[in-house]
Amino acid sequence: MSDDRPLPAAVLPAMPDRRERAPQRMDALVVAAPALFLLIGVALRYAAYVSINPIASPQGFADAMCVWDCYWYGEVAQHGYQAYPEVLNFGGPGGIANWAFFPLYPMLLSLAGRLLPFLNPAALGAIVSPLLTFAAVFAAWPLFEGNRRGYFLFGALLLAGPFSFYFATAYSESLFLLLTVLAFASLRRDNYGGAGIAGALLSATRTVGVLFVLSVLTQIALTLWPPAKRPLPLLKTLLGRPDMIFALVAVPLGVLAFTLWLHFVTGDSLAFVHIQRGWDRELVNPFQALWDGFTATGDRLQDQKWLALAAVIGLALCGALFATKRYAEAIFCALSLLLALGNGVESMVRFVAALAPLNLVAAELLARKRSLFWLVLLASMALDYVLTQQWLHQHGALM
Amino acid sequence: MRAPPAAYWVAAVAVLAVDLAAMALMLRPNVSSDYRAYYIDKSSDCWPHQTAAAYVPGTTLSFAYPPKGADFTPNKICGWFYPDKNGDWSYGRFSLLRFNFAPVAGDLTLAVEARAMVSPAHPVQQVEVSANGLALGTWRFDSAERATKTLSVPAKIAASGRIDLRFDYPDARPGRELGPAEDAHLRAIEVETLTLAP
Repeated sequence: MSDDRPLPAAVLPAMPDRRERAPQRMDALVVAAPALFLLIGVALRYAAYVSINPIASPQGFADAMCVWDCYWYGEVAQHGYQAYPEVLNFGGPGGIANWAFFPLYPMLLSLAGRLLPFLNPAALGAIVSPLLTFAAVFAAWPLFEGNRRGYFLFGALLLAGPFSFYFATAYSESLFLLLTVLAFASLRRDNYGGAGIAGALLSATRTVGVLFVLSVLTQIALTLWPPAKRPLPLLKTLLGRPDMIFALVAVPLGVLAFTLWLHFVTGDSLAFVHIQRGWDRELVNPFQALWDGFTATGDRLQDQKWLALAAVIGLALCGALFATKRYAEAIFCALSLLLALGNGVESMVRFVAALAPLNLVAAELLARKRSLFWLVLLASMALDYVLTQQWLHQHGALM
Repeated sequence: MRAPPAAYWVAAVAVLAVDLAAMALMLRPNVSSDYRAYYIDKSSDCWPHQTAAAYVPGTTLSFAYPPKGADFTPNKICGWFYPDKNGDWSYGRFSLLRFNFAPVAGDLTLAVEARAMVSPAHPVQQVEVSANGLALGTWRFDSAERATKTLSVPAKIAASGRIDLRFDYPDARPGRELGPAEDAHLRAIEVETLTLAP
């Protein structure tokens, strides 16, 4: 005979109340929402492709998205670095070579190519990059400190937003984004070992990655200065933190390993800098470059105004990072933009869009009000479609 | 701290050793003199194009893009800007072209159609022409309109089956003088066609 008497309350598993259940449901959303944005982004970009290519195919989509630098990353992935600058830049005066393209992303493409040998670099990029971006969004969750609306908007901006095409083809932006998030998340957790490793990978991904060493230095100063208050005690404390010292020397390792490789292949460790002459790039005053961008006249230079505007928005967002006391992030982003402006305003839209902390603070600001959040979310997706069309048409401002 | 301090010290010292070795190599580039002059010192505007430079005497080469006839690119060595629909501007203080062909008996006539970068302040562009190191003569371009100039290439050079043609521009001016949107590099003439005729 069964005992139908109810169990005492203390024996029953506690039924979570509404407040306790909510975070679990939201935790599932932390993964589910970016996954949904990932799918929406792919659908929007494919729709944009179909709108200008009536005879559409997945391979055709990957090939059409693979414009400008995508070719170079694919070339490095397939053939490695050239020994000699030979290809003339559109018949111009200087020989160009693939040394300007940092190695980590093409290495990843090459690895993916071994797993999927039937795919060309464009198709590999169309698979690898969105997955890296998805990982970047997911890894950024701790940086939002529970701000779910901001986190969702961050995911939407990167995966299905106006500039998602940068993170959906064979460009290093997606990997740069992921490593930036991992590096700053490690710093936030006082995990200098992790920050050093992520930073080393970051500096092997893009030129500006090495600037993360200044973020590490800033964070060390912020951590050790208050108790030390003077330089000498600070240095003594630093010697007791070999994890911090490891991070400082590890971050440049990525770019320095690249210079070593270039030395053995080309004889010139700084070939990635010197080859810029093949593209007629020369160092200019960043602020002069901004001024020139805004005051440029003539049809050929109309894009310059948009590029200069993107730089100003990026610098303003650096100010917002500073205002929210994210000093390490603010320094990284501001110096990245100023270094890029040292070559003029070219590609500034891409450079601003690929800085994760700028996306983070923009998402936080735009998600403050629920109505604004929804408006920006919908507008972002609409712009994903429109700007992907422009990308496919190779609009110069998006280069 | 996740790992023992000693592990961080060992890792830091090992990484620092690699960092320093890589930085030391930066100071010792092992490159050709052409590479050093063009990419590192920037003391030259000539990055020599590696080309077979094949040419059939009598062919008129087009310097425009898209080419209006036989393209000059296979004969281009250095000192030329991005070609456009009108031709190709010289780039820097000199330009080089190379022609490999079946040896020809007798003189060749070099003919160039070009316009010059001139202004009231700088009304003339002189072009000093030499072939295989031998001075052939000097052209004077004094108009922004197209003009044809000719020079004779001696038979002994024509018989060699190879001509390294050099144009020097003592009056070259910054491209910005053409307008604010133009490139700042030195320019002298914009060549439209070139022919080496028996």
